[in-house]
This record gives sequence, C-alpha cells and structure tokens, in this order.
Amino acid sequence: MKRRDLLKTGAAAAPALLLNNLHAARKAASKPNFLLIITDQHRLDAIAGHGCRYVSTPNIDRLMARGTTFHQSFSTNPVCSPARSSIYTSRMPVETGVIKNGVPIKNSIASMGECLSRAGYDTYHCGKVHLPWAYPARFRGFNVIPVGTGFAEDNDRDISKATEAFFRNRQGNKPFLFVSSLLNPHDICAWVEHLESNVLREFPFAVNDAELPPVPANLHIVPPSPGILLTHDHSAVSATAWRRYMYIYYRYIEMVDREIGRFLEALESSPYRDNTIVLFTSDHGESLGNHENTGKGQPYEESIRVPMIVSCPGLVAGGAADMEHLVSGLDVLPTFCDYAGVEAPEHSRGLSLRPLLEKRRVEWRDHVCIEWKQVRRPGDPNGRVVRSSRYKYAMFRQDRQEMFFDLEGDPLETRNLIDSKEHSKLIQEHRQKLRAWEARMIPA
Amino acid sequence: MKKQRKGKALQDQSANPFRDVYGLADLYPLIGTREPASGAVLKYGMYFGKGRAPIATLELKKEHMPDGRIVVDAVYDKTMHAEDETKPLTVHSVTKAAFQFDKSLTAAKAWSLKRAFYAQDGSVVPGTAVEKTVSTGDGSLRIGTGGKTRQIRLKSPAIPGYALFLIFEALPRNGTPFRFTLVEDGDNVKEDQQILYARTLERQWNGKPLKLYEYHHIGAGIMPQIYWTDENGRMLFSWTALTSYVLQ
Repeated sequence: MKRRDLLKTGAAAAPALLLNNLHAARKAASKPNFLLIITDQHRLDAIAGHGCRYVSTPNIDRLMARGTTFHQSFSTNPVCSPARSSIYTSRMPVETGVIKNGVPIKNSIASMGECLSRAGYDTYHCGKVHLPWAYPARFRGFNVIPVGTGFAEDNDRDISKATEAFFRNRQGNKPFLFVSSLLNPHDICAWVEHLESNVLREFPFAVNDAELPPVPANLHIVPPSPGILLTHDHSAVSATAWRRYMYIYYRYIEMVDREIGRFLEALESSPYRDNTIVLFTSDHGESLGNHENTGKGQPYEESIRVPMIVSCPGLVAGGAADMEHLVSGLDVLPTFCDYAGVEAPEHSRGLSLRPLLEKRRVEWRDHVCIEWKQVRRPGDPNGRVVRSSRYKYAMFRQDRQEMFFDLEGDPLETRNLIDSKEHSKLIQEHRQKLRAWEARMIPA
Repeated sequence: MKKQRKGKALQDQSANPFRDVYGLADLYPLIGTREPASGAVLKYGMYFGKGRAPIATLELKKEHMPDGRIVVDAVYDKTMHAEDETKPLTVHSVTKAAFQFDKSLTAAKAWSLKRAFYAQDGSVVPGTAVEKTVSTGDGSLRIGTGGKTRQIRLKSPAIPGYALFLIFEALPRNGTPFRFTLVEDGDNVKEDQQILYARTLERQWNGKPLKLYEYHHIGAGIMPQIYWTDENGRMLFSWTALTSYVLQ
C-alpha cells in the first residue's frame, strides 16, 4: 500500500477512531462491573483452548477468544480454602490465617466484598466459599445468594441458575461485583477411592479407546522429594484405570463449562455486556496421574498452575495470550480495585493485571511464592515454592530433601537438580528469593 | 401403593437387586405393577452419594392427548441448606416445566419452564426467578426469555433433561445407540449424547424373578450414567456414581 493510500485510509477511519476513543473514554469514566468465576481443582491445561484434545470447553474458549489468557498463572497454595483466602484478600494464606481447609479469614483483613462495597459496588456471592463454611448463608462483605452443600454434579446447576437469574433480573446502574463460585471439577475427589475399585476396573461404558486420554509421560516418575510427598502409593493402579479417571475429570470440566455458558449467555444478552469485566480462575489444579498423584497439595505444576482469563469487550485486549508474566490469585483483588478506581488494600501482595490487559509496558515480578502442605499452625513444618519464569525451587521445612527443576528442559519435573553443581548459583538465588518473600509476610 | 423401603430397615438384604451391582446397598426403588401406557405419574428421589434421604424430588406427570401428542408436566424441587454457625438457611430450588412431544417421546416439540429459589416461607428469593419458552423445528432449538430469543442449530433431536427418564419406553433394546441433544434443566444444551442398551439383569425381588434392563448414557458435559428400567421401559433407577435417582 502506498503512503497516499495509507493517508486516505487514515482520513476515512478518523471518525471511527474518534468514536472509538469517545466510547472508551465514556467507559473509563464509569466504573465497570465485575463477574468473578471460580472453579475448583481446575488445572490450567484442562481447557480445549489450551490445546487439550480430550475435553470440549466452548464457553471457556469463548472467554479466551474475547479476552487475555495468562499462561503463567499460579495458585498461592494448592488447597481450596487457603487459595481462596488469597483470591478474596490479596494476602498469602500464612497471613490470612487460612493455612488449611475450613478456617475463616482473619477478621482484621479486608475481603474483596468489603473493598468493593466501600468503592460503591453492590456485591453478591453465589457458590462455594469454604472460609470456613463451604456454602455459607453469610460471607463478609457480600450479599449471599444461598445454595446448599453437596456434590458439584448437581450443586453447580443451582449456582449457574442463580447467576443467570441475576443477569436476567438486574436493574439499575450501580456497579456490581458478582462472584459465581462453582465446585467442579472438584467432584473428581470422590473418584480417588474408585481408582482401585470395581467402578473404574469394570467401567462399563462404550467409550472408545481413542477417547480415553493417554496417561501422562511422568505417571511413574517420582523424583527425589521431601518425604511428605511420598506417603501415597498408587503404583498398583492400572494404566486403564488412570485413563478412565482422566476421562471422568474431563467430563467434570465439560460440566462446569456448560454451567458457565448458561450465565455467560445471560450476561451477553444483558445491558451489562460491554461494561462487565469477566475474570475466570480456579483455586488449584489436579494431579491427574502426574507423578503418580491424584488431587492437589503438591508443589508440582499440575497442582499449582490454574487458569486466569480476563475478558471485557473494549476494555481488555481480545484473543491475547500472555505467555510471559507470572500472575497469581493474589492479583485478582488489586485488579478489581484498579478498575474500580480505588487503592488496593494495605499490604496487598498482588499486582493489578490492568497494565498487562491494556498491553502497557510495566515492571513485573520475576517470581511468585507458593505455600504447600502447611498442615496446622503457622509455625509447623510447611512447604514453600519459588517459581520463576524458568525454574522452580521447592522445599519442605524440616526435611533435608529440596527440589529444583529447570522447567524449560524438563516441563514434567522429572529430574530434581538440587545437587547439580551447574545450578548451584541459581538454587542459592531462589533460596534467597524465598527468604526475602517470607521476611515480608505478616503471619496471622 | 407400596411404601418405599430403604437402608437397613429392609430385612432381606439379599432380595435387593441393587446391592450386588455397583456396590449400592441403600437404595430401594419402588417396583410395582406396570403404569398405564396412556399416562403415568412418576416420582423420583434424588440422592447424593450414599445419603439415605433424598435431597430433591422430581415428579413427572405424563398424559397422552386425544390428538396423539404427549404432554409431560415436571416439578423439580431441591432442598438446599446453606451453612452458618448461628443461622443456617434452607432454600428450595424449584423448576416447573411443561413439555410437549409430538407422538414420540424421543423428540420434544416445545416446552416452557419457570424456576426460582424459594425461602422457607414460600416467598421467592429476590432476583432468582426466570421463565423461558423453548421450541424446536427446522433443525433448530429456539430459547426465548425476557423478550429475546436465542437460536441454536441442532445436530440431533432435543430431549429436555427433566423428561429424559420417560424416553426409555420408546428406545430399542439392541446395539443401536440413540443419539440426541440433551437440554439439561430445559435450557442448557449438551450435544453429542448417546444412550445405548447394555444388558438385561435377572434378579429376585420379593421372591419373584425380576428383569432389569440396563442402559448407558455418555456424552459431552455429563457424567457417564447408568439407567435401569423395567420391562415396560419405566425408569427405576439412574446412577452416576455420585448422584442417583430412584423411583419412589
């Protein structure tokens, strides 16, 4: 194209650009709404849009197509309640006091609901909280739309129905935060006991072999690890049972995807479509046979990496994949505060994702810290991970066996390099990052 | 009508055909005489895991109209207990739906649904009510709500979830899978479903031989599901390993 043509095009496009800018300015002047979608036990790669061939997730994929997907996204502690306490407060679990399941957030720490209420928002919560109650009648800072306890298989339908109804019935212009917190694919936890039982051995369904996912390449590779990671024994589970377990997990992912679709459609046909930031994430991942594990609570990638997708037409870059920046559940509340035009709470450990979503250059962290296996009180033996862009250092206090992985050459974490002289300087640097991080913490 | 029996109250555990398959010891569907083909009222209890009290009920009333249409009214009522240290809260999730089938139960023509959460005093929890109308035709499903209609192309006949239990009387017992689009809760579209007749089980029930016909349901966005019907295709029991529906 000639320069003259470019100028012509530019002149013709000018009014449209001006309109776009005005539209953007009008949007910026009003506070956006927030829809926070949380799933439970959803590992980052269990989404079709992330390349998984064994699951169909058209609704989550739609969010990816319309928004920005972070590929380096991590839980703060791969267990339900601790991770959730960080999402709601931007503080590490050791600070919120939620170092295990079923513990409330320390009273002096402001929650997401309180922060956004103070910023003029109507705040609603529907679904799983687990701080301490799984499905509470009340949750600090939120109007709770109550649902009952039980398995996700049925409960998630009530959560999505309530979320849909909110968007169908909502009136008025006051900005809102709605948290729709779904339980699946957490139902996979109920299948761990079935791994060795008749249910998966005699799995009677006409599922073709080609439909069953292959076992992970690191199924039977357990590198030298702290003893607490070696307490289970799944060595007798057959490859077929693992594949059926994986098949079930992916069906749960599809179930929760369809529930998300129910209320996304309602949002998209509502007046709030263009001014609601949708943030989708999960509390922790699922081992799914990697390192011969089920469930969560380990320092491995399958346990700590979670989806993080942010979508809003006009406000957030669409169809974007951020492969570079390390983000965390800590970042959810600062992001909402940033868009709401208020300061993030004091001692927030997270960063606003807004500059990344708007493709602005910004100084960013070079590592995240993750807690794991902190079983009772803050002073008890506990695990920590330092995850930098390429490396992972993991330790469990009072256990001499540390772990260090080069994730570029060994993404499945099969070779523990902790004794590698070649990596000793890097290992020291990661130990130092952990010490610096821990020095900043204000334990509950 | 026989009274439902369940759990350890039943003396003759060995008589329970549900005990030795899939480890189910505690669930006892009502197995009685054949419902009239012209109509039926079926009530199911929904159970979580090994729970002994149903947490939801689904009542289906089927009528065969003089013009050949089949009309099904469904009421789904789930009791939900939200937790709280001092003030636990009970809420009901209720859906009422009316389905129309054009002679065959394997393809729904149209339906309407109303759903809401209800407080213990019977009042609607504010902001939870939704009404929808759904119709099929020209290879599409049209879901209308709030004056807007969404159209979805269908690859296979649509079966609304609440009426799914009724289709077994129309399914063949051979190796041909029935392929359909499940519209769960009447509005959540799940494509690529198939139900396949799997086997016939011969059991004893109250000292008499009983044949159970087992069907398997797999598809996108659902748990693999097992159904047991009687010889007339009346669905007695369905199971996903975590959730079961039992005829009461």
